[in-house]
Amino acid sequence: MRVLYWVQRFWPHIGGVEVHATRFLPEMRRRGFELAVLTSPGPLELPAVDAFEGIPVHRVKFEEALSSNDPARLAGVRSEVAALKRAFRPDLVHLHLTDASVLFHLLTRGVEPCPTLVSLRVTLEGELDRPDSVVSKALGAADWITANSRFVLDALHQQLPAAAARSSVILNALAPSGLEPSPLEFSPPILLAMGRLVRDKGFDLALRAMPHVLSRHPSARLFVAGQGPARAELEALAAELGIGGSVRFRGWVEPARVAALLNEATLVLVPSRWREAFGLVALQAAQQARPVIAARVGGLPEVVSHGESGLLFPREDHGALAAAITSLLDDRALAIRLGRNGRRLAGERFGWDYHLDEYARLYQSLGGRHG
Amino acid sequence: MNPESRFEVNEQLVAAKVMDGEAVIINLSTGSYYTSNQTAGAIWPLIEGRRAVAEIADALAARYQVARQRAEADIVALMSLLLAEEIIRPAEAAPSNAALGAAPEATQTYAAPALEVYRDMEQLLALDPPMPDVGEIPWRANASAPRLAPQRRAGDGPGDT
Repeated sequence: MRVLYWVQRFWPHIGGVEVHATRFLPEMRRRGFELAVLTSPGPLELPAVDAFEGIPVHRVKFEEALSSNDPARLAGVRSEVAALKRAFRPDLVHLHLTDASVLFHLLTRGVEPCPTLVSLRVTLEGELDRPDSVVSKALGAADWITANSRFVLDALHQQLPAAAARSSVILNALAPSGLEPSPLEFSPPILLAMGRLVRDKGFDLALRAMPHVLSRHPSARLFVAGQGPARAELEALAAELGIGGSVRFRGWVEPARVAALLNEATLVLVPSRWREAFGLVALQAAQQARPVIAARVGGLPEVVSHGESGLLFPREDHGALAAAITSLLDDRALAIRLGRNGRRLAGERFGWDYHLDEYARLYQSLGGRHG
Repeated sequence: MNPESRFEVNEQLVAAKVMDGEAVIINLSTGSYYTSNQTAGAIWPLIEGRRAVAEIADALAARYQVARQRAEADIVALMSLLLAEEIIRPAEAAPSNAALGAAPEATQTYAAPALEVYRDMEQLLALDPPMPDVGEIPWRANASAPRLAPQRRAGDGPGDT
């Protein structure tokens, strides 16, 4: 079965979808699917035709054409996509609704017609049943829609009830880090908040929780790992709260060092304001058997099971966050148990093989009918 | 609108191109995109040529298997949509000699001229939600670059979901 995998950016770009695709596609190829990637070069100078682990990669300048406001260029890209479809003759088009290039799929649906699978990784904004919207048309044209969390799927069903009969959750998955978890260290307790330093991540809430935590556990340390525009503001807040000596900004962390850094942590904090569609840091922490304290937002409650693999607290409530932290530092056995449970659940619910199996089944079910 | 009505493309606001028989039209002032079916693509040069509604209907009826009356009704509907979208306006200049391109066969199966409208292209260009981690780290883009699956960065979070 031939699957045209349509993704905004792909290797050598990096990002959530891209990283997933570079792992996902070779595995699906090993499972017998013939794949081709259709993507955009983005701002990089990259060859129009390339290969990734034996999988053909076609880079079309979607973004340039779309930003040109030149109908001739749009029409040219449409012809290019049509030619690619004619040459590849897909049994299934699997696309990610993250950019405007989906227009070109809609414009070429009559060329080598086949089922369309749309994968959502974030909630969509606005009305989804408008007749004049490319997003709505893409969802309307989808034979099946997957969401990476129940939260994303529920939001879709609320916005577009008609999609309920042709959509499902395939949870994100994460291959194990390969590094064994280390025992939780409580002397001193290390709290870790990891992510890009922007307001949406709520790291300021972690800082604001610290005075209370320190009043009970004076040796506790907060590590803030990541880089971003809010760093200066966060550093100033730490100084203002008088906790500068207990907070360490670790800066950007090499991807290969993430598991080791998690192993240093006693607890991992995910205090996001933003309604995380999933919350990969929480899953990474669970893999390393770290108990996670997360805001009850977006898809985080699907990753962090309250009282089982971690604790959830109300969004923006740094007092509740502080209480959750101290409760686990006070009860080490509970913290250790939550961490272990988290690691087990990460393997059970977010296993890579299960994720691949689910997609393979869906590919067969959709594309097999076509073939 | 009557059979003698003529229109012209609102060239200050509109860019358009027919390729593979279908028109792609952009209203630059609103950011809306339009794509046509083959029938509307075929008559777009006549619209650009400021031909009257009746003349376009005649051309359609000659080319397609469609009754003249139905063709005119369909043209009126299309022109009304194009007017409402400010893609065309009443013509002030004389018509050109634009004609329908030669039909490959004497008559073709008819589909009413139609436009698909896409009003959210500009929003979709910025669809990526307020992800805190949209920053990218391109791998070295050369032929000898390792083809290992890249690792994610520690600082990335919600966008990786």
